[in-house]
Amino acid sequence: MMTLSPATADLIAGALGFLFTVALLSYLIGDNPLYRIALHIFIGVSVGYAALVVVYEVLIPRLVEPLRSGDMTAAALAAMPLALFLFLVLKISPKAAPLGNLSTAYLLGVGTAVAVGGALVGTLVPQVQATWLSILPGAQGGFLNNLILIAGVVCTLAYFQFWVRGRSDDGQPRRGPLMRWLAGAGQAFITVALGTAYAGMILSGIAVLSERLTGLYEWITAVIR
Amino acid sequence: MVLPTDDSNARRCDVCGESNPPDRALCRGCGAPLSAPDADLPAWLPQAGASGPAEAAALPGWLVPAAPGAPSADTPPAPAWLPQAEAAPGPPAERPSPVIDEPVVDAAPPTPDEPAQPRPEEPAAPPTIDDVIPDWLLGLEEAAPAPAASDAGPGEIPDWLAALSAAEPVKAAETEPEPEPEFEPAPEPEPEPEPEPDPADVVPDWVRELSEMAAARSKPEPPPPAADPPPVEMPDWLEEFVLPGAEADDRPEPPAAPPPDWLTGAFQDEALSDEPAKEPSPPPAEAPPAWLAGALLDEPAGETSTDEEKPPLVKSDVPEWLASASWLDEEKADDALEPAQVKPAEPEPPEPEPAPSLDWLDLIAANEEVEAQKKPAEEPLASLDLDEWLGSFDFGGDDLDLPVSDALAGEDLLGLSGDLLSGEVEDEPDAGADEATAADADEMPEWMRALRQDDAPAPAPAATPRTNGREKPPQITPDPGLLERLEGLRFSEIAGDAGAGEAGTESVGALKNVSGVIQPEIIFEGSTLTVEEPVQEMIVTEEQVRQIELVKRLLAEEAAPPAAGRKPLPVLRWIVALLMLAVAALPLLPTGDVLDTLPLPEGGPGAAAAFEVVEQAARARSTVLVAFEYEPDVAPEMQPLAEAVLAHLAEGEDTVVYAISTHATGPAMAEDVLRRAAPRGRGWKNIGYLPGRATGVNSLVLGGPAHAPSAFASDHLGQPTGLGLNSLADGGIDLIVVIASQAEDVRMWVEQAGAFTGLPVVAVVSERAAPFVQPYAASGQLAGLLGGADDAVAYREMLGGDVEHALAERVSVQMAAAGLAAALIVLGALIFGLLSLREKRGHAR
Repeated sequence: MMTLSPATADLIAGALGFLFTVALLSYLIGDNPLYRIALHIFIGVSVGYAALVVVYEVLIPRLVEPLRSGDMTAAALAAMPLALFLFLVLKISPKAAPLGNLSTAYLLGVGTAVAVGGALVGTLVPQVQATWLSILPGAQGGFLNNLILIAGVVCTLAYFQFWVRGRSDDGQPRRGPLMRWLAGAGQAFITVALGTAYAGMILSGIAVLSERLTGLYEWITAVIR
Repeated sequence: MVLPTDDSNARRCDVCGESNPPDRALCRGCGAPLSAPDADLPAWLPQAGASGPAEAAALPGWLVPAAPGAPSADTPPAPAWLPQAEAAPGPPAERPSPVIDEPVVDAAPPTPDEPAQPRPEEPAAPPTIDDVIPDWLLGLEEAAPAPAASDAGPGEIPDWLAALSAAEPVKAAETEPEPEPEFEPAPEPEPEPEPEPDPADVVPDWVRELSEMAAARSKPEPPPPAADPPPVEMPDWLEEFVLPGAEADDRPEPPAAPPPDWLTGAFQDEALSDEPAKEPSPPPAEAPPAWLAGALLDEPAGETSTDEEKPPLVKSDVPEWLASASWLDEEKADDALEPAQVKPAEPEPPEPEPAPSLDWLDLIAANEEVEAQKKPAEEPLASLDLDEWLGSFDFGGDDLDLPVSDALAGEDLLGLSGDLLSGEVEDEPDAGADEATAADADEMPEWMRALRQDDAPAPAPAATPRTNGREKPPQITPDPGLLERLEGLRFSEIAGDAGAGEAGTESVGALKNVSGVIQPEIIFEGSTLTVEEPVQEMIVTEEQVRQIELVKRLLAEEAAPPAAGRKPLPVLRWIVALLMLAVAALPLLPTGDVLDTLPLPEGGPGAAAAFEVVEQAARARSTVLVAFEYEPDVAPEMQPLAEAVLAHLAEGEDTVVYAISTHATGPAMAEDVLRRAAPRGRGWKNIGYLPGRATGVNSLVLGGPAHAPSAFASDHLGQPTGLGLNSLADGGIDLIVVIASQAEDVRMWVEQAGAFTGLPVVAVVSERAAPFVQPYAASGQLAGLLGGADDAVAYREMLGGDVEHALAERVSVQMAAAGLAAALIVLGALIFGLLSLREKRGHAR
C-alpha cells in the first residue's frame, strides 16, 4: 500500500480544499453544477465517514465482539439489541411491519424518557429558579438587569400563549389587552434574540471565510514557492 | 208550404217556421231557440214550413222555375255532385238506408242570383206538413205514386215526408212507424195541392216533361228493351218523375254512361230492367236522401224508352249541369243547352266495378222495385201530398216499398264496411253489383275508382240493362288476393322458419303472449368490436380545419409551462458578498497591518470563570472529559478555542483528558486538536464516538451492564483503551468540557451529565451558540462559558502567552466584518424603510 508523505498529503489536501472552496463560493453567482458537485461530495464524504465510524466504533465492539467472545451473557446482552434491530428492519415488509413496532416503541420510549427527565431536571427547574430574581434595588446583579430579565422571560412566554378573548371586527381571534401588550413585548425580545443569533452566525461565517481565504492564500503561496 | 228563401244560411224556426238570420239564437217571431241547421238537408229545405208564395224565390236556382209564381231563373249552377256523377257513373246503387240524416250529395245550393226575399211573419202556430211542402210540389203528387217514405226505415225520411206518406193511402204501403216529424204538424192553411195542370204551370218545363214521361211510362206499355238506355239528357232519377206508374219492367235499360250510384240506385226501377222483378234491394250508397227517396216514384227512368216514347226531358230551361250530365243520354249530353230530345238509351256499356252504394239511393231503388211490382196506373205524384215541384217527379209509384237495407247489418254509407265483414252481410247476386259497377264506371269519381283498383278485377260487366237503381247495387267484393298479401306481410311469413322459431310467443314483459316478436340479435361476436371497413376518406371542411388547429393551439398553451421571466441579477447580493470578501481578505491585503492596530476585544465574564475552572482542574491532576461536539464546517472557529482550553489543561502535569463526541465526525476533530495540543505521552485518550446522543450520555453517566461493553473500552480506532471504566463515576471525571458549535449539545451535556453527576461543565461554544448558552451560565449550571474568538483571545491572554497572530488577525477580521455587516444592515434598513414609506405616501395620494 502506497503511503503518502505528509507534504504530499498536505499538497493534495490543499488542492482539494482549494477546489472545493472555489466550488462552494461559486454559489454567489447562482446555483451551478460545480457547487452541486462540491456539495454532494461533502455530504457523501461525511456520511461515509460516519458510517465507518459507526461500524468500527459501535457495531464491531458492541455487537460483533460480544457475540464472538463466547460469553453467553455478553452474547445475550448483544442479542437483544440485535433482535430489536431485526424487528426494525422488518418494517420494510408491510406484512411484518407490526413486528418493528416493538423496536420503534422502545426507541421512542427510552428517548422520550431521557429527554423529558433531562429537560425537567436540567433546564426547566433550574431556569425557573434562576429567573426568580429580585427586582428590588440593590439586588444582586442589579435590579435593572433582573427586571429586564424577568420581563423578557414573562413577555416571551406570554407571546406563546394563545388565549383568545373575543374576536376583532374582521372576525379574527383577538387577545385581551394585557395579553396583547405582553405578547408584543415578548415578540420584541424574541426579535432581539433572533437578531443576535443571526449576528453570531455572520461572525462565524466571517471567521470561517477568513480562515479559508487565508488557507487558500498560503497554499497558493506554498505551491508557487 | 213556404218556399225557402234565397238566403240559404237563414235559420228557420222549428216552432213558427219563421226564417231567422243565421247568427240569431232565438227566433224573432216566437222567441223559441233556434236549432242548428241540418247540415244534411239542403239549405232551402229546412226552411220548408213557411207559407207564402213569396218564398218561391228562396228556392234553389234550379228549382226556382218550378216554384209557383217564381220567375224563371237563370240557369242555376250545376251542383257539385253532378260532375262527379258524370265522371264516374256507377251501377244502380243499393237502396239507401233509411237514414233521414244522410247528407244529400251536393245538394243544389241556392242560386246567388236569387235575392233574399224577406219572409212574412209566420203565425205562431207551427206549420203542418202541408205547409212544408210547396204547392207546386203537391201538384206533382197526383202524377206520382206515394213516395216510399214509409218504406224507409224510421228516421230516414223527413218527418214531413213521412207524414205525407202516412196521410195518403197510397203512400202508406208499409206498416213502418212514422218517424218523428221535424216540424209539428200545423194546421193547413195552404190549399190543396193543385191538380196536374197546375204543376205544369209552375213546374218547369223539363220537370213537366219528366212527369209526362213518367206518366207515359206508367201506361201499360210493354217494357222497353233492356238494352235501350234511357235518354241521355234525362237522369234516371228524373225519369221516374216523368214516367210515373211505369212498370218496373218497362224501365229502359241503363244509359250508356250510367249515373252515379246514388242516383241510379235511387231512381232506377225494376221496371226499367229486363230482369224480373227482384227483391227489394238495399238502397244504394249514393241514393238520394231519404226525404227525396220517399217522394220518388217507382217510375222507370225511361231508360228503355225511345225518343218517341219519352217526352223530352230537357228543355231549354233545363239547367246546364243537368242537361250536360253524362249519365244522361249521350246525345242529350252533347246538346246540353239545347232542348234535348229524349233519345233511346244506348246499350249499356260494360259496367265497371260496382260503386259503393248509398243507403238512401238503395232505398229509393228498392222502393221503385216495389212500385214496379204493383205498377199502379196512377199519375205520378197524383196521390202525393207534395209540393208541385216535387209532385212532378215520378218516384216510381205511389207506394214505394223500400226494403230494409241490408246495410243495417253493418254497411256504411259507401257500402264498404259490408265488404270487410266476414260475409255477414249477404249481398244480392253480384249481377246487380256488376251492372252497377259497369254502369257507374264512367260516372264514378276518381276517388271511388281508386278504392276499387285494389279490389279484385271487376268481372266483365254483363250486358244487362240498367235498372235505374231498382237492382241491388253491386257490393264491393274484397280482393281475394288482399288477404293473402296481408298474410304475406306477417313476420312469420317474412322470417320464415327462422323467424317462426325465434320470434315465438313472448312470455314476459309488455309483449307477453304476443307472437312474432323480433328477438334481439347479436350484432357482433366476440369481446371486441372490429371495424371491417375502416373509413377510407374523411371529409373535413376548411372551417373544421381551422377549429381543429385552434383546439390544438389552446391545448398546447395549457400544457406549456408558464414562461419564466428573466430573473434580475442579484447585484445587491454581489455587492454585499464582495464587501464581506474584502473584509475577510484584509489579512492578505497589503493593508492588512491595519488589523494590528485594532484593539483586541476583552473576554466576557464567562471566559474568566472558565479559565478559573480549567486552571483548577489542571492543578489538581483531574480527569477531564472533553466533548468535541462540532463539525468540520465550523472547525476554523472552534479549533482555536479548543486548542486554548486543551493547552491550558496540558499545563497540568497529571491532567488526563478523555475526548469523546456524540457526533460521528467529532472524534476526527478531537484528534486534530489533540494532535496539536496534547502533550505526548500523557495518555490522553480519544474515546471516539458515543452513539445515542442524549441516551448515550445518560448511559455514560449511569453506566452499562457489567458484561456489556463500555464506552471507554475502545478508542476512536477501535483499539482497546484498557481504562476499565464503565461510567463517569467509575472514571473519576472531575470536569466536563463541552466544545460545541450549537447550544443543543451544551444543553444535552448539562441536562444529562451535569444535572445528574453534579460535575462542573465548561462550555466552549461558537459565536452563534453563545447567546443561547448564556442562560445556563447565568443560572450556574455552567462553570464557565467561552464563546467565540473574543473569548479565545481573552483566554489566551489570561494564560499569559502571546496571542497568536493568526488568532489576532482572525479576531480583527471578525470585528471588521461585524462592523461592516452592522453598517450594511442599518443602511439597508434605512433605505428600504424610506422607499416603502415613499411608496405608501404615493398610494395614499
